[in-house]
Amino acid sequence: MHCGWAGNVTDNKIKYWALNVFCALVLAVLLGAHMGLMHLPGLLGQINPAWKDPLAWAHVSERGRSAAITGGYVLLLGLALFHGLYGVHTMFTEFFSGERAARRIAAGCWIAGIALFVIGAFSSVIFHISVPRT
Amino acid sequence: MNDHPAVEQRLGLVRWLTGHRHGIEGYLYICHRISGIVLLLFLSLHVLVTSSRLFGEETWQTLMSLTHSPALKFLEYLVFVAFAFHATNGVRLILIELGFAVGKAEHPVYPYRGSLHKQRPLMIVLMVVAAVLIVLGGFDALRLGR
Amino acid sequence: MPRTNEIIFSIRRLYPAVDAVPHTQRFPVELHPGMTVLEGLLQIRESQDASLAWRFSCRMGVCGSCAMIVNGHPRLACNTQIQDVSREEVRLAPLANYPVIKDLVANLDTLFEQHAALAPYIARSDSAELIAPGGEFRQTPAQLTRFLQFSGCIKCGACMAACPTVASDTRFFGPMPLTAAHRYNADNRDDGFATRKRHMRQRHAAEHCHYAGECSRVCPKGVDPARALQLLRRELLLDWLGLRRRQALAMVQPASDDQPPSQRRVQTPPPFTVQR
Repeated sequence: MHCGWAGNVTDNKIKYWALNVFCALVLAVLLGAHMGLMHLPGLLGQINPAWKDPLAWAHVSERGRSAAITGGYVLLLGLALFHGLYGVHTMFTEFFSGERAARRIAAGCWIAGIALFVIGAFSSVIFHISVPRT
Repeated sequence: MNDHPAVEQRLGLVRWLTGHRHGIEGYLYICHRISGIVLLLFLSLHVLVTSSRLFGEETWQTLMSLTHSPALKFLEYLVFVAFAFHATNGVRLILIELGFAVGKAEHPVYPYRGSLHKQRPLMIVLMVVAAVLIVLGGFDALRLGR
Repeated sequence: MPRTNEIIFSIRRLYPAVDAVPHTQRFPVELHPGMTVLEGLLQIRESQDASLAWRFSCRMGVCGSCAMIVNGHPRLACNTQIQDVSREEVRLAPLANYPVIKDLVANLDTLFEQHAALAPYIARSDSAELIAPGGEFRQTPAQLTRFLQFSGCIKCGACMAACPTVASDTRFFGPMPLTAAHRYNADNRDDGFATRKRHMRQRHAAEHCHYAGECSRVCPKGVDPARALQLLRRELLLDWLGLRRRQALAMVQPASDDQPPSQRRVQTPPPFTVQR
């Protein structure tokens, strides 16, 4: 069977794709709620006045006190980074299709993903621990 | 391989933007990619900006006051537009890629009506949802926002 | 401005042995009602320029040789009436995404290599049955429908010229080979899924289809490669999850018992079968 140009035939990339679709499904719900609350405050504020100004410090610190919301943020960040970087990885591997390029693209995506995840998750968790509970 | 020299004519990135004429799903494919890139860039910035809450209320207030400028408000709205489109089109793509929205194989009888026609009602409904979300977001930013 | 019964053919010409870059040459063509693009090309070669190169064979949309870019769309020249394309100018170019050998002839070697790599034939594990067939394979109409649409592919390469992923990914298998793979995966006589999946589930295969739908839009035979790829990917996902149900194998129907063995149709291999 000819496979000289066809890459590594032992790879199973379908599992990454499946994980990406799963992330997309969860994101549609979680990120949908997040974006709705953050970008439609005027409309949602008519329903619940507490949603009127989500960026006010009082509300930010109130959310920070909740372990569930902090956990949700970390989960959301992980899923969004995987989904986004999987998409970027796909685009780059389409333009640079050599094996060496594939390794570099994968390394770049992993580094960017881990760095952003560490920054985001660290700040969320530390904020949750340190925010004053009044 | 043939013995003649051959001239490469792969379309590459040009195919995304011009190339041959696209159908509506072809344009949605391009928009999905562009909106995805926009959202990932925003996410990176968003992670860095929101991390500033660690430094206390003052830093947070200073950063948030920057986002009240009309230009940044508009950019923020563009992110919302990208999200509304990417999410609704993404729901269509999930249903398609899992093989639900493309229908089963059928006998090819001219004029051919294949999976593109099968998924089109779903596409129209989801694009209407996207349009409604985009209008609501604009209304919110212009009328009800601070 | 062409005469009323005349149309201009603008053809992208290139002979890599001589030219460094392609150039466009314009030919006036006398138009008849119902005339196809292929007939226009034949007219040019007969009366204006015998050096014009393109592929064609059957002239009736069966062989898949004459696919080219007609006014921006990959189409079969024999299947396309000039009046349906334009009243003034027909612009022709070789199939995109493939190297040009000469004028409108693209080099489709990689297409056929990719096709061959995916084992586009019924692969069976019971080699004894292949050597000494015990009867005919029976399929229900429903089992036939699962792959019939995808078996109409004539390998013209129009889908490959339209696909935005093929345009940028030099290793992408593309709609045509993957559709051929799904055609055999969906056939209940076939046992070759495990062999094919080594290629189908790697990076530059099913994973890189994003349903731009261009392949199905340009397919001259209604094969719908975009659908085949989604169904193929679902099969790969189910296989990875261990949920892929193997289709009921086609029944081998022996010749009826009321015939004497000497009259049974399938007892002896046909004369063209290689004897070992």
